[in-house]
Amino acid sequence: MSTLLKSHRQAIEKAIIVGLVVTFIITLLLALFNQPVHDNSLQALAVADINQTGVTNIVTAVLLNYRAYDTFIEFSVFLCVAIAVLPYILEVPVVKFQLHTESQVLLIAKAFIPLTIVMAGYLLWIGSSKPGGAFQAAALLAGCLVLLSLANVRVIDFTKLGYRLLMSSGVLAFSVAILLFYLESQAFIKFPVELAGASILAIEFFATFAIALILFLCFESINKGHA
Amino acid sequence: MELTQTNLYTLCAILLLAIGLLGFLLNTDFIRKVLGLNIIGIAIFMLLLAVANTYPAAIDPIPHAMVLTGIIVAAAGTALGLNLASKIAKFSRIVQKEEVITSAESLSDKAYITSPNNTQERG
Repeated sequence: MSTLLKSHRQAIEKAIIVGLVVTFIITLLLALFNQPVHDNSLQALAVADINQTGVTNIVTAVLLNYRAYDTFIEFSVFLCVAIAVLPYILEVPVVKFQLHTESQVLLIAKAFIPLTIVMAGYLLWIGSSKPGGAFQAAALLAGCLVLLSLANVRVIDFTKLGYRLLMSSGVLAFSVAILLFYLESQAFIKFPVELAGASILAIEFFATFAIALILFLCFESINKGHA
Repeated sequence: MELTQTNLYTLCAILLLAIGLLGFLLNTDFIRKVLGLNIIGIAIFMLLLAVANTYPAAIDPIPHAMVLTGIIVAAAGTALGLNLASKIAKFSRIVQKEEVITSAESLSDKAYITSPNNTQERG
């Protein structure tokens, strides 16, 4: 018996893991389909006060007004990740690439990047009334930067102070907005109705660049940091 | 149980969760573990979106906002994990090289074998 256990140990372990996972999944399935139906009380509340948030898109209202502290902490988490991956990109000597011939990636980049930047701007602007906003625009901008990086065009030097300030500008803009409104109304993260739309747009504007730069930094630190 | 859109999405999410969980637990490779974790994350996002779609006429925005922030945090966590993994790989390569050098030195001290071919085979 013990020799059998020793010789087939891995197979037995895998069988136990598969069995446990299957049991867990079946339990989850039963639990999910036996729970009471989701009541939309929060949705009704969110829709009822939408004209006090300064935006007309309800997801943006939840993100940047009702649960603004969530988004604020998320920006901070994201900045922490940027600080954590920054050393990986700094210890590598910078290699200057010179493009002698037109590569296909550069051709694609030249065709698509202007369009993508326009689209990112549109998504940022439309975020107040339709699906869109800072995260989607930031993903598009980060895609542009990744395309340029794949074409060996170096646009961003993360050792420069300006780019680091831009990287933290999302958190900085949010903090400034919170501080100003706190001094005015003595309430934590509470936008006054007439200024809510403008302040949300300002925060989203800076957050777009911050998130795009940090996403690109994450890509660069994996791509170039370990050559 | 009728097959509405919500139920279909919930079933797919649970299937994805099973795939991710098995990939996470059965593989010993670090990168596959990270991929498994990502798939688990996507399954949970899908579950949240399915719940938000219970009443298609009045879609709940709170799960949507949670997923939107969650995607970014998942991407950042993956980047951090991959960075640490490649750092570990780099470090272990250095350690292996040092071990080869020290074992070669001890071998030449004892004057067993001095040919460099033999040490390369050991490394």
